[in-house]
Amino acid sequence: MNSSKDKSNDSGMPPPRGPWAILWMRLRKNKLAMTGGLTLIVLYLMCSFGGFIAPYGMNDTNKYTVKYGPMLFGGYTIVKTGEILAEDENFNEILLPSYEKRWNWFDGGVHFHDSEGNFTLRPHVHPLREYESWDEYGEMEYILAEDQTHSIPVRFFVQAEEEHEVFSLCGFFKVFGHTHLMGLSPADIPQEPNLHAGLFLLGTDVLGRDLWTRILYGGQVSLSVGLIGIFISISIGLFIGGLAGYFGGIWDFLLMRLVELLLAIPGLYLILTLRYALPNDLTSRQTYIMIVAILAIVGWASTGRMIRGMVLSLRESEYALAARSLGGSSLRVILRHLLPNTASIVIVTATLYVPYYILGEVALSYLGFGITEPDSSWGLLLKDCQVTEVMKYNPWLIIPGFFIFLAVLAYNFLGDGLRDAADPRAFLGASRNHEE
Amino acid sequence: MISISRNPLRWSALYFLTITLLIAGCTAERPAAPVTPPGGDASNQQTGSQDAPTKPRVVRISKMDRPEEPKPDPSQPVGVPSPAFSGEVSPDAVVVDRTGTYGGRFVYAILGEVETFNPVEPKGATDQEIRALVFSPLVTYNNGKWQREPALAKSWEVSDDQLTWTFFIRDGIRWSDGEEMNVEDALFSFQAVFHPQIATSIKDGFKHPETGELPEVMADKERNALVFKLKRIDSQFLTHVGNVSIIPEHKWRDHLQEKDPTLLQQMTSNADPADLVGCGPFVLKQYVPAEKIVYQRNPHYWKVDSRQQRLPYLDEVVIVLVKDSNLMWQKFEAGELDIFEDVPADHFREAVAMEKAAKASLIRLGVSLNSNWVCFNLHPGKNPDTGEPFVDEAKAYWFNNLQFRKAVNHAIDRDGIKRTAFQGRATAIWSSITPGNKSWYHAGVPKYPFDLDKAKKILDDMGWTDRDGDGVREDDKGRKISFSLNTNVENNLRQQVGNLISKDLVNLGLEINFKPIVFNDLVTSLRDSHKWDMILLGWGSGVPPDPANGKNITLSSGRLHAWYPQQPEPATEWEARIDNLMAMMDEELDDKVRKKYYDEVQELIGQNIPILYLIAANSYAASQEGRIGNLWPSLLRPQMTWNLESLWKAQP
Repeated sequence: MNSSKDKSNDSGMPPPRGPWAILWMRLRKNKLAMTGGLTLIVLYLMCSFGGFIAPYGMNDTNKYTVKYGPMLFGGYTIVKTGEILAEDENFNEILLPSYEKRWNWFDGGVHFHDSEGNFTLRPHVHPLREYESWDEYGEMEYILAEDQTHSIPVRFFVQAEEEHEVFSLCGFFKVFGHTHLMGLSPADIPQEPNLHAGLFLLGTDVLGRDLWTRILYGGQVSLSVGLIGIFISISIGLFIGGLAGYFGGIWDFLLMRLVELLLAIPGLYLILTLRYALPNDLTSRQTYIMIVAILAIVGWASTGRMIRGMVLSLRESEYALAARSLGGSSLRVILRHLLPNTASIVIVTATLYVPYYILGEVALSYLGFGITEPDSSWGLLLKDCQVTEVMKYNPWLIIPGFFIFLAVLAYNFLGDGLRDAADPRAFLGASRNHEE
Repeated sequence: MISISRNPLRWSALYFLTITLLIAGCTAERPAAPVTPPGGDASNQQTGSQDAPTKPRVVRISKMDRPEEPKPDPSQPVGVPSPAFSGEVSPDAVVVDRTGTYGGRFVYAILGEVETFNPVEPKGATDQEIRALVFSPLVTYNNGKWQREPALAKSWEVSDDQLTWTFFIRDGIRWSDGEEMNVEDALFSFQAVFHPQIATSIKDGFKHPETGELPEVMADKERNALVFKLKRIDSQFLTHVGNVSIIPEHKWRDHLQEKDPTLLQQMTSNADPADLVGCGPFVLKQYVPAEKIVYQRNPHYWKVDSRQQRLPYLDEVVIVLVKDSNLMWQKFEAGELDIFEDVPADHFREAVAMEKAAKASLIRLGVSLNSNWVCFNLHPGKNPDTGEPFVDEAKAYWFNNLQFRKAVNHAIDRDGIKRTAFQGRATAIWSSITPGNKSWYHAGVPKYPFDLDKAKKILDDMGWTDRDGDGVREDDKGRKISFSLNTNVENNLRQQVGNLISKDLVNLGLEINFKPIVFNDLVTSLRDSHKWDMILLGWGSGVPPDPANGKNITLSSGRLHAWYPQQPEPATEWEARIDNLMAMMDEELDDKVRKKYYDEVQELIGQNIPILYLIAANSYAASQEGRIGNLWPSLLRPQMTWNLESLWKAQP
């Protein structure tokens, strides 16, 4: 009998492979699926090390840097549009300035020259100056724009004074430290009134918090919600499906009716109802666990039904029959012989269903039933875009939507690729999965 | 072997769509409070933005004037009313100093749905606003002038003891069905409101605070007058009378039975429009649930303009019913709506852009009368079911400490709230009366400006310091100062404010669990279960903007006395004094003296800080440029439709 490690095989054929090796080989050929997988690895790593990569803390509000544009793509400059003649309290005439800010694409923002204009490899940002702009009705507005006379170098591996998390596994297992991947050093910032500095790669939100930081922290919630949720729902699905499929009869009937019942309930409304039923004094973290649980409780039904179908056909197979006739207990047959054979489909289903959990979390948070301030999640960040004004004046606030899109798309590509790769009926080409 | 019947990608797309649709229906149930800074001079508005930007414009900063009263223009074309007026003009007709052109259809939108058209039992604020189109009271309020005006009563007099009020009804007024309106109808309307088996919030104002007795009301047919005999002096009596809409006796006589009157079951939202007979400027023409309400001119209306033309000018008024303020704004932006009241901060920049493009005028109304506040739970009671105190002993110990509340007040950065959540368009406040309320604003209330060092020192001096180095202070008995802050999750603005406040308090060295919750739960815990620590909410303002309207908040027995509602008797000396002052205000008719009393109330609340007033947004209203004439926007609600009978629409 040949073993795949046997180098002396002289049949001229490649060594036979196990089902996992075939899966991997086929998957590797699927460029789209591999891109999806790679994207996911990058996203997960990025968010796990979010606290380290992010230049700020999750809830570092700053009243001076409200809704500033993404420095990665340019910066604002100020244009004086006129002066307003006004009277002060003593009825003296004074002139009040009126400004407008202008967005410059790829000009300003993160740039590569220092204050003197010399080119350097180190990225620099301009500090932001606050202008008081008056309108003809006597209303004053603060306008934030770059002060291009200064350039502040972006430092790498900056040490922050306060301890913050640098690594976090799904927001649970946390490592703390003082280092940020990059940031501004307070020593570099010129001390002038009305001058504020910050490294806002993707802009800031309405409370002046760095959006890139919020996206990284939000990803910890949004991405792990899918993994934990799918783990719970697949576990329930495997258990119930295996039970129904193997024993059949009354078990099958009862459990499948339960599944149909769950499938017949409109999911979103069930989620909302369950969310209402939860106590209100939970912390955001507990809420997050609850959301996962709610999503999983609603989500296991279709998986369970699929498993049941598979187990139903597998239990009639020769090896299952053999195991039973050799005196294997039901539990042993299910655990050792039937469920492992469903592994490929389970993995495929799991991958394809993760986006459902990500979108579920987005929906709940967007509606205000999920993660709430001051915590962060991608759905919560999108909540700021509910108003039409954002699209016109603060379009960078929809960037979290791009990350959701990316994650969901990557999961779907990967899932589709896995499904194709796990399909035994697909044309095998040069590969073989059995011996001659 | 492997088959996946459902395509998750398609599934999730569908899911997302459902959610998006759902959001459209969910977000704006509670519209965000309007937001902004000291406002401008409305008369400058026309000259304003079209000029070249380099040309300086004259303004008076920090001197906000109210929008001016529109002036009549005798050269204006008259136009043809359709439907036409009928009947004679009443000899007692009110003359309004306006001119306008007949015709046109005025369209505006309200959030929500109509529950009933019955004016005896208005359910919500919306119902109250739209019933004024069809029904008129004896006395009304002029939102533009901020003063009371006669309506169906041409005048009134008070006896020397101020207990007998006589209202003289106008002669020759006709109902919208052509029948004559007289004192019998007025009497009938008050009997309906006073009927013991009709539960209506309108009645509460007339009740004697202690005995619950109602005034006697009788008709004096010779003088065509309605006479009230009061049980006590009531400075707000005219306000209460103004809340009662006059309904036709000839229509509803049979529905005001002695026992189990069926009046409230009439005039519901599925009533026949022809049954809604009133004395208001319009009559109901059509009601399409969840879509629109259409009104047309009341041909018998009793006001005329300065050229003796009968009012109203508008042929039709359409109220579009929308569920979401974003949708409402989009309709306004597309030109479907003629006006937009209470422009929220979210849409301010779009409104300015419309103004710059000369598509709309944005009217700066100044600081809104609505206040935002945080408050600690000072309820000393126990839950009758479990015997547990509503507030933990430790929390009660902190919250009841005046120095602690003072420190918290100093630690809240109102400027930060203004710059971020309100985008600069708001004003810090120190009392429930905002600077927008010119008649009742009191500048002398104690203020607690942002000063973190001072706040820290106050806590340090009490020995409430961080002793175990975890960044959170412990009180003098060694208990970690940690409590929760709630607000309603539907209101994005409040969530932002709540987040900022909790950050400020963390900086002070307290541990805050900030948790936005569903509005209904919040109200339940505030009113009934009393299981809360610190809460962030806001007060709206009524019309007229008289503090006597806020008695359920100010009085210690009030249901909305947020920090400790419905006290059996005043819990503290200063609350007893406030109750006393409010009672004195009720019995005093001179507004100057009443203001003095209320100034003291504001000072007492400011000194004892049971409630920390935060910020009031600036208020804006918008109208399509050059479309509606005679607009006279006001801070008071409804901002622009209160004088609907004298508005006219420019015909294209």
